[in-house]
Amino acid sequence: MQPGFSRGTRSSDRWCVADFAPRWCTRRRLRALFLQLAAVAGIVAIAAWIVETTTGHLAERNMSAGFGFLRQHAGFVIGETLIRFDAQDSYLRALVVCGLNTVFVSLLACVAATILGAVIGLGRLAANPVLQRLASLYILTFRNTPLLLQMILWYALLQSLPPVRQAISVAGSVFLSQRGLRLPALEVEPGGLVAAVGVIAVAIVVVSRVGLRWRLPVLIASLLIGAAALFGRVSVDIPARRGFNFAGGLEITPEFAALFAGLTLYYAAYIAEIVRGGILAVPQGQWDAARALGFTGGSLMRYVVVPQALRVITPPLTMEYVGLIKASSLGILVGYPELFWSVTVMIGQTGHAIEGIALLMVAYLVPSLSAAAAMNIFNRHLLRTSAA
Amino acid sequence: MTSHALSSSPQPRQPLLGWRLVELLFGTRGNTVLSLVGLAAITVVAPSVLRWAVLDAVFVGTRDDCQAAAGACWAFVGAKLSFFLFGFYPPDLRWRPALAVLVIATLIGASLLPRFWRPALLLAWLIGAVVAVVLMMGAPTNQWGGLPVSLMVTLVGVLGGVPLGVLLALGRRTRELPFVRLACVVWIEVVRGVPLISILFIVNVMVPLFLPEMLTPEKLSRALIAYALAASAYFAEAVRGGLQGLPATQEDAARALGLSYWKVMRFVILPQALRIAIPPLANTVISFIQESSLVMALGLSALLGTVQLAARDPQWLVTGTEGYLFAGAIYFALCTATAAYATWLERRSVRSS
Repeated sequence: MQPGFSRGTRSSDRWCVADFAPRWCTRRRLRALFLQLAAVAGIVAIAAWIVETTTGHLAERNMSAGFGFLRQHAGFVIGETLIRFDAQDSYLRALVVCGLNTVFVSLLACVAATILGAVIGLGRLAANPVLQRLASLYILTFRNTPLLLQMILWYALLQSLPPVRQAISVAGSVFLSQRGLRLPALEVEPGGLVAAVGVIAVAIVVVSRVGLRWRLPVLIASLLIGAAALFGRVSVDIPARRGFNFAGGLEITPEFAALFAGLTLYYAAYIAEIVRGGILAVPQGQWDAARALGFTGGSLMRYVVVPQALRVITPPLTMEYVGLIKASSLGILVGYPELFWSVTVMIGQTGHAIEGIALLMVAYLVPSLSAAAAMNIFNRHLLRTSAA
Repeated sequence: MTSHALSSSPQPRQPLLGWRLVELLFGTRGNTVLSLVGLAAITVVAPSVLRWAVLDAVFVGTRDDCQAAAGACWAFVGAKLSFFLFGFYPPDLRWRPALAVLVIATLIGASLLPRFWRPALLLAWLIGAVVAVVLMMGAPTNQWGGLPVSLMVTLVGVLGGVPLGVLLALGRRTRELPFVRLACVVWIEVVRGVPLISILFIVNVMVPLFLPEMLTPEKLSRALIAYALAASAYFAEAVRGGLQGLPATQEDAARALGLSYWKVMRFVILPQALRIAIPPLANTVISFIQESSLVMALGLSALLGTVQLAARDPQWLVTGTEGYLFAGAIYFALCTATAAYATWLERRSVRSS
């Protein structure tokens, strides 16, 4: 058997050029065709068998396939949500609500892990031995223990905080207890919010256009206008103890905190190594040349080192982000209601396993595959610009 | 952070003694600040950690001793050690999983040494695996737990995933069989694109639907199948890197000698590609050691799962922190040992080539 040699133009095609194709060439092509047909037949046979037994099983349970069940009442409660949800809402809304939770925690953790990872990565490169060793110790510890174990450990540590009645309180408005952290929340009326966002957007545009001398006045003016727009439309919601829990304010639950801390601290260790690798990949000559041109300190990093390091850093960094999004599904094991949790609950209640799994796969494949595609485009762009 | 704190190029390691150390620590204003902050953090954190973990800790004792003390309750770990390691396996039969782990650990140890790399090793593995399974069969699989389950999941993932991964990686680079290539690409990208925990869940839910009832394996076997299938895609990606690192001339030269495809792969391409792929392969092994803890999602208890179950014991009233640190230490040892072995293997292969 000789199925395909790779890299056709370089290797196998050279062996079978049409002009002087010998008989063994035709034979090889026939064999390849036969192998392919066999593979197709095998896959089709397996698929047919699976469909056959599955429809049999579904018929036994009197179940029909289809996504109609998504409109039924979900009937379960979601612990924490970004938008309103109650048990009367549909499964579809439950999936959206939990999907938003996944997006929310992933986004926050990506930002936090990037900042922490960059600091630790630079720390590992530092000439300062104290900093260098602390950074190395961090990376060694966090990369060599399971993420799930870390999350569960953070959760256990949060459980050793005092119960609600003995909550640690700061100025009567911040409470830290087993139930998590309660902070005063800023409540803004929608009108005020829109106005403030508008002012900030205009200010950013103006600041980027005006000269250096006008930046500070423009900034102060926009802050004043923004404050005026919000005046009277903002209230502070201070949490208060009520029964066995707190009411009001902004709640950071231990489940969210464990998941967020786990994702951030674990991925920061990986990102630190990527940042370090990226900076080491900038040749020494670039540093020397930049210094010879008079670049120092921040400007050396900003205009010479970082732009070059980013080319090396971006592809693996993107893959870490995808990994982080996927790993947010571990929230199910520390009790955070994210997408994977909602799909398992839905399948458990309705029995629509195939539909649920199809939705789950699509939801996670969209970020993974789009990141992979984006990286391919980025690489091609890089090849073109560096060749030019 | 400013750049004067960065050593822009890797410097040769010199002993950090005397003036050199002082200069590095306090040479510039920025470094002095960083050093002082770092040292201050160490002097604040280290003593309280030491007090918690050692000075105020209870090493031997009961729940009441732990409640009275301010430090760690290592007595909990001591009392539950056997449960951490073997889960719900009947206590008077725990010599069986212990012996099984010993057999497998010996085999792993022997397989790491190149001097044992000969066909007899395969036979030894076959016998060892049968012996280990027979030993474990002393109790039904729903009572298995702890270290044997972690080991089994990791081993099945790695030993099943590597050969499948090699085939997938070869399939992915074929030009003459576009359909096979497409199937391999789809498999690799889809499996790597979804969380591992969801693959466990999918296999657990779908296998009973797909298969006739009498062929449906029990939960542990389903988890093992899921790990092997998932690992195949991750190992394929690691092997692909190695294959891409080889110059095409290697294949041409081997082909010109008249070798068949499989002989070219077996004797020329794969030995070199796998050598290049040692670091990514080791990383994949390490990730599967860590992710063996995910079987928790199916209600199976690997090492981490048993600690969590023990922490819920109302007899002890603990949060389980000490137990998680203990399990973390085991995982840490396994992962760093794997990384160290991979580094040694890589150096050895560089020397020999």
